[in-house]
Amino acid sequence: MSSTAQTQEYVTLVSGDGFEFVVPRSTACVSGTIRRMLDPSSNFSEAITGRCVLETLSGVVLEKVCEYFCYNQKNKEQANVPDMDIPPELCLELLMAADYLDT
Amino acid sequence: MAMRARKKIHAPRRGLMSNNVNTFDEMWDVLASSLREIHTKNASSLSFEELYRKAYRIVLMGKCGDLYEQVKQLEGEWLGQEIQKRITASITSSLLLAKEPVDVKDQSNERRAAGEKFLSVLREAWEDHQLCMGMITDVLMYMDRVVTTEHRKPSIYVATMAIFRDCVIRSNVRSDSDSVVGDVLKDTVLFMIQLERAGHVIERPLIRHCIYMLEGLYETITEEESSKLYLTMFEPAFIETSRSFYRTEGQRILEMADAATFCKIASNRIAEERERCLYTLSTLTESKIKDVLDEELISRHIAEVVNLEGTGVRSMIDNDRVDVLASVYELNSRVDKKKTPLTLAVQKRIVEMGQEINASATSAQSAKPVEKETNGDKKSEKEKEKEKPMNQQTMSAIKWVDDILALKSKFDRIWKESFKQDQGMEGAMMNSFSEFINSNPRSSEYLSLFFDENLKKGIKGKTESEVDSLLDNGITLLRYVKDKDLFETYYKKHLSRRLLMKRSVSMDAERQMISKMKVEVGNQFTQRLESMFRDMTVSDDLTSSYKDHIKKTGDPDQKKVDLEINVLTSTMWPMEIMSNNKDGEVQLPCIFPKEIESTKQSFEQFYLSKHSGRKLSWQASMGTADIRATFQRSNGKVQRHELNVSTYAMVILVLFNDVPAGESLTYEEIQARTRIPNHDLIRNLQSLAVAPKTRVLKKEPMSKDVKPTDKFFFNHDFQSPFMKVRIGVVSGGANKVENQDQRKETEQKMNEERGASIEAAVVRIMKQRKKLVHSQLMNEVLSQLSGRFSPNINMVKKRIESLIDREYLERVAEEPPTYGYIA
Amino acid sequence: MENEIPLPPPPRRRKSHRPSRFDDRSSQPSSDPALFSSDDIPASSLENYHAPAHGNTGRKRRYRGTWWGETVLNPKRKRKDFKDKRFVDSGVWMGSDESLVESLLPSEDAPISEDFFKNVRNSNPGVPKKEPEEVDAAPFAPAAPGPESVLGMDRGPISRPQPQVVAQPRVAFRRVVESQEHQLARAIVNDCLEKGQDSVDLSIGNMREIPSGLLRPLQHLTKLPAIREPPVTEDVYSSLEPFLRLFLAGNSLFKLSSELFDLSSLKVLSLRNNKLTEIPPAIRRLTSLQDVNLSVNRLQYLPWDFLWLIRKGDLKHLIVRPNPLMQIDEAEIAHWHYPNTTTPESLEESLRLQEYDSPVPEEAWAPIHIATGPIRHFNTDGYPIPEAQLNATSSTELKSNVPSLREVSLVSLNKSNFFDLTPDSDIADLPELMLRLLRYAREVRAAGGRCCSICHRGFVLPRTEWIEWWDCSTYENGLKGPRASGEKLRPLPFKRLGCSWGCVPDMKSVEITHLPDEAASE
Repeated sequence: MSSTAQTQEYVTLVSGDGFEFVVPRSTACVSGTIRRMLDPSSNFSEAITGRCVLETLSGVVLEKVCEYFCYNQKNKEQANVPDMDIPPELCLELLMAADYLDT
Repeated sequence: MAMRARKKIHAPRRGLMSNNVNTFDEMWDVLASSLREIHTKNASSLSFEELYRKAYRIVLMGKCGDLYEQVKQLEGEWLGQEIQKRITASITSSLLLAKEPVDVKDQSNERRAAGEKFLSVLREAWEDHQLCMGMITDVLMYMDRVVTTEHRKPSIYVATMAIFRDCVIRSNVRSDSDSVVGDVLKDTVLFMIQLERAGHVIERPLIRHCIYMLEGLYETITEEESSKLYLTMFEPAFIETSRSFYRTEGQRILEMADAATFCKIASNRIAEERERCLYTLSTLTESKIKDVLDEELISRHIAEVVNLEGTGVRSMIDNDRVDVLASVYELNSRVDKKKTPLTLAVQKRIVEMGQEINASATSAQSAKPVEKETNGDKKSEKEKEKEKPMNQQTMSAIKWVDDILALKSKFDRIWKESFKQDQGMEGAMMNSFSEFINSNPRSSEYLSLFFDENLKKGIKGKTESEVDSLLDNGITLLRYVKDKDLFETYYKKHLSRRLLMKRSVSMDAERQMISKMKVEVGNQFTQRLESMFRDMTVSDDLTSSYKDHIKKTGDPDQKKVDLEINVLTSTMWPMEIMSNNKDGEVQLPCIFPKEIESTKQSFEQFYLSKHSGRKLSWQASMGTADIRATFQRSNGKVQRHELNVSTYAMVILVLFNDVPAGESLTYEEIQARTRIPNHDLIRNLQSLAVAPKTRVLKKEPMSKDVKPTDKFFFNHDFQSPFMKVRIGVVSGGANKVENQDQRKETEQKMNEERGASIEAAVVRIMKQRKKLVHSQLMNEVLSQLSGRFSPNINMVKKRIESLIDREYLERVAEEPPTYGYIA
Repeated sequence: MENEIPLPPPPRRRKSHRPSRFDDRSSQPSSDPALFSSDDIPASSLENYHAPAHGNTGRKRRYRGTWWGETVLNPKRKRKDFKDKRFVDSGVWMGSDESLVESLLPSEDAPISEDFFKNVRNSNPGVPKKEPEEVDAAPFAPAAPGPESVLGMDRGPISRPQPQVVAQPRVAFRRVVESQEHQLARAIVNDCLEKGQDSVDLSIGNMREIPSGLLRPLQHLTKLPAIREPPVTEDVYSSLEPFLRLFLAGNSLFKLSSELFDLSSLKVLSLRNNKLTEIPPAIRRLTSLQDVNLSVNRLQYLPWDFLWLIRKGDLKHLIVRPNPLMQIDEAEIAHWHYPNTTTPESLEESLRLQEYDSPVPEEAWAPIHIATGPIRHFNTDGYPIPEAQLNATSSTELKSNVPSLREVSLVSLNKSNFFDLTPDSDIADLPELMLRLLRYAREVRAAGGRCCSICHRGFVLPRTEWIEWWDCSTYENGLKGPRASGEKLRPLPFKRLGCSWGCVPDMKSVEITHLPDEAASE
């Protein structure tokens, strides 16, 4: 079962209010917490199903978080990284999400 | 941007953080049961997110510290009860009882089986613990972040490792015994290792895993490298048992085996222990166990092994056991950079073998009667007797050199193949060679004779490269000879004979030899030798140009004397050839016959016209002459022979031209009319009148000695099967080993020359320094002269005194004694 | 976008020409700043050649504020320095439109003033990374004075007495609190403003910090033309452009306020004999600085930005010694750059200018990079990462230049007016780790902001940090002469910060290729 989890290329991130985001596994693993969650050797249910329900995050925030994951993934080997724009009203919530997700 | 900035930033919705739904206890209960599930390997039913969120909430509630403690407690209970029970259950009494390894044979199998079972249970417990704690740490990551940064406590992983250490490794095996699980583990592993050392096969990976565990646990919570349980708990015991094992092992092998076997076993043990560190224990121990082996197995025994009677280094050398020597070298170099025992043994053997060679050379010599005072008549007899033995002595000198060369090549091979061309060893071996070579006082002479022999005969029919290597070998020995000046003297002497008597086989070889010596000893050394060659060439030119001169101006009527002349620079050639005065008396020059005298004068005239201001002195003793002699037989027949004689003999024989047939000349008459020195006259008369095959003169009375009153007649009955007869001078031409007197003489001359060299060096140094302390002066003198010979300290002191007397130097201070140069 | 106009009237100027809030001791010139018009259209300059036409192009531009303030401060600086600059946030609060209304209230400036006031003991914005528990929570303290306050949680094991002022209620009581020396200082500043005196001597002693609003009016100091009795000779005509000099020597300053770094025309700054432990990197904004005196403080190192001021700015004289500076012979060195890249056998030998014959080489004048210290890495929480853990990190992660989500959020927060508008009580129950970051961000903002010394991005949490050793002895001597051949070198430690793990010195070429002019981005 862990082998099936490993072959899954995409994982589903679910917000507390029910929004679902399907992202590549490697992208989701930008977050330390999600990386541990999906670690195939640990055998937790998320690792088996490839579906992470993130109870604490709202859809709006999770969307931005996913955007960040992609931004990070896309630029991680670039020398000149563009700035990522964050709406000020989301700053604090994103900071909190970053804290929670360890990213 | 500006538009957005106007929006107000709201704090995150409180709802997400409000914890009124759950209390700490409720959430902890869920967490605790989940953690237990993890331990029982039921994680797949758990949601990571849920656990993580619970831990997160607890932390946000400010109960981070409580959570941490609770988890520790839970782990402590799990390990202390569940796991510890499993472990102690696997320890059987056989593991506890047999403290001394391998002492009771029948128990060892039982103990081994029990040990393996115990180790595998322990390994499983450890691996489970590691895995579970990895998962639990992940789940509690948020707590860990706060705990490690804000509270400055070790992470939960580290904390539970410490719990494992205390609750499992340090727990008592039985409630009634003091020993803990760790001790049993240690004893069991050591027992297994002893089994393996005794030749059994053991389960290495199992031990390896248990060692991993000890490497993963630390004494302290800060986890310093040095506080690994492996290092504090296991390694010292391992080193200790290994030490005592190898102490007895070394003794055992030494008692039952020979040196070669010892080396083999030791090498195997070293490889074995290394492998053990790589595959069974930890690489951390590698250097330590290596030290134990080096100390207990090698350092302690190597000297004994090297000197082992019958099988030690001596016999290895004698039997050319290159492989075994190599392993002795290998072992010795592990413990001692200088390889002292081996070096000493090799050196000792070299000197021993060298002394044998010396002894056999000396015995070959001393077997013959030792020469005493030689003088006048007595000598002629002895000279004759010694003709043959002398040659034998020369042979033994050459054999001496050959033997040494053979010895050298033997040790060169050992050095190359066994000692990895070790530089230190090379130096030591060179010293030993030098030691025994120089212990033979005649080494310089022998070596020079070796060259002489080879350049005269030895290289006939040899290829260029053979000649080259032959000369190279000789040069190698020259390197060892300390008194290079003595060698130079002999070589010069021998060379002069070769040149003047045209005995040299190949001038190319001679020149090659000179250039080799130049490379080996230096320019200064060969300067004089080279000038001897130069004199020879110049003389050839001179002779031919003189002949031309005669052709042009000469009186055609005059009986022609064909003159071939060598003009030698007096300072470059050996002294005894050049000296006019012997034993302090001034020797008047020899009176030549008229014909010769006119030729001589004509040449002198010719020469001085070319080089004015030079003085020619004629060395009749070194020359030869071809004369045509007519023998009137009693039956009236006339027999002609061409005689090749020495210049002196020619002078003597020409005297008889004026003596009527049947009349005689006495020795004294001859002496008065020729002024040939007594010594030479006697020898020449001996060869002309005594030697059986070349009796051109008759002597009355007929005896071997020549007395002043003897009469000499021309022997018209001289018979010889050959047209040309060569009449050698007794004991004149050939180069051979010197007799005692000659030797003494050489030594004396040597000392004089050395004295001059020392004085020259002292003056040179003082001229430059102006003022110098005694000890410093000594040092400089010694270092300047060491290339040629090792000066005698007393001699240097005497020379300095003498220089002071002659006012080259002065004493300028007493304390410390200091000299000044007087310009 | 606003920022594409190269020389917009800065908001602060618009704001500050209003009648002072401290009207009884007006810090303003008696008259309003003059209105100027100009024919040159900065908007049409090269760097925004493609910029969309503004409504006011073609018209004469009007500038409010001082006339010299609109000239290019340093004509020597090439215009390309302004070009392709990163949009960096200075982190300095300029007051937004909304806040203008409120700023009429005397209480408006208080939070910032208090910031500095209470953070006196924590004057070292670089240090909190090492000692995170010492980050001061003071600004939030008055808002949540209860026992459950954020302050209490953050204090850590070491609890030190707060300066007395902290206990004071906010601005309402300030005038009562205003100490004598502050009053005196304000009087001196006002006097200078009145008389057009461009040499401001505040070396009066005892000031523990620079009170809010003290320095801001100096931005607008105008010189008065000398009025003389005729006959008027030529030498009467002197430049009316102020040569602003500020002397803060002999006080007890623990830290500097961002207000100081707004004095962009400051030419001479003396901070001699204070208690400063660190000079904020925002010093870089004082691009006109020619002469700085930092001697007799508690500095262990300098911000790297001084080197920038030397090389790209006008700085000619930098007096640093004596200070308890780090010494190169005691410091750990990772790389040597002078005289070559090999580790020297003897320090004595390497710290010597290479021999030269005349003519004097460039090297004898310019700063020389001697060595670089080891690089310290920090995690996304701002904690140093131990060497062992770093070795286990993947190389792509180590090379990445991507800011963390935390960093992105903090930068955005600092750009916004969040810290001004959010009452402390709103965030008091945020997670502890987050609060720490927020406090840290505010520190950075108060000290004038930061920008990465490698990629020049504005940032909050440094991810890398290292010391570079440069010999600036010619500048320490005030450029009186070149170094003599073979002269002994005395390198100064300069601290550099990087905004990501990818921002580390490139050991092959430690050349400064591009240095954006931060001051111009305002």
